Amino acid sequence: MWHPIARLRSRPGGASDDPQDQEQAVHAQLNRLLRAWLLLVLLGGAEFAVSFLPLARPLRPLVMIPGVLMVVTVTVAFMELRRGPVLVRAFAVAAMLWLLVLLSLGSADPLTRTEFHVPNVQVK
Amino acid sequence: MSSTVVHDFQYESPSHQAQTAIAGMWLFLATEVLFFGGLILSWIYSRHWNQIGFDAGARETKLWIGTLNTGILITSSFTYAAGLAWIRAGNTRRLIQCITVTLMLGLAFLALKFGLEWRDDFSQHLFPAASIFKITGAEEGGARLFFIFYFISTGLHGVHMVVGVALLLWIIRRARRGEFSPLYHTPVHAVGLYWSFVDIVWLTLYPLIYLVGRG
Repeated sequence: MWHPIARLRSRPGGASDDPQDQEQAVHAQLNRLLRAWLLLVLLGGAEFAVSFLPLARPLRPLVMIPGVLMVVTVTVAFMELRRGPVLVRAFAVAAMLWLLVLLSLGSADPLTRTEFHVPNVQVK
Repeated sequence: MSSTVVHDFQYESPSHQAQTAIAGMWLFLATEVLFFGGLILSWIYSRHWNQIGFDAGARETKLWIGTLNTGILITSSFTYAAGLAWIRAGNTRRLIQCITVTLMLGLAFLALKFGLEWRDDFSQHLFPAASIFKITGAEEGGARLFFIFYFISTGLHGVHMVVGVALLLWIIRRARRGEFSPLYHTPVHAVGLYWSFVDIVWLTLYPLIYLVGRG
């Protein structure tokens, strides 16, 4: 399993057992996490601001784009998707694929149906 | 703290066992994606046919609570990930501190959502099954549908949060007993994946409930 200390230990010279090196490795990782948190705050702010734009009703779901980027950020930075075993990425890709199939097939009818105007006439 | 890590007979090494556990958690989360996917589909379908009513319902939600809760959850994911980084360096004390902060943030989320927001929603006649409903006229049907989505989705998310809080308490208890080390911290990692996933679900629900219907 990946973790920064193990990576440090595998370095030639084996400086990893030094507590100072371990401390540096942790602080480097905390800096990366902090940057990810800041990015999330910025994206959240952007999503909040964009939601007040006067977009047409059918286009309103576009305000979710920063939210999608936030989901990607959490998955990559906090869930360490890129660093786990290949099987983990396979499960994540499969989940996204199934979700895409579910949402695209499920919404195909309402998004493509043609509505015809029916005149308001009374039939005797 | 133990310096050696044992593994069950069916695995070739402790690392193999840890990788299997993490992959298992990801597979569980993949099923959760489909579980919440059905909810998102219901939102797409219902909003498409009831846009005016849906947007009228969305304007009745408490934007400040939803936004504050979003900040709380992304911060809690950060503090949990920081705790994981600390235990990888063998610092159990920092792990406990980080997870305790995560726990407090989780409880704050639940208090705001169910102690304040839901209570206000009920008192303002926004419960969709009630005979008296705040929104009337042409928008009523769509707004009732919106609040069905709102209560079911935030309720299910809340159940996941409660499970997450229980898991955090379990991690704190085990950490206090000194059961985690740089060589063995798989439960900390697995619970972190679950907690971040619950965060992701909220990041999806937040715009669907509070933002898309405004503007």
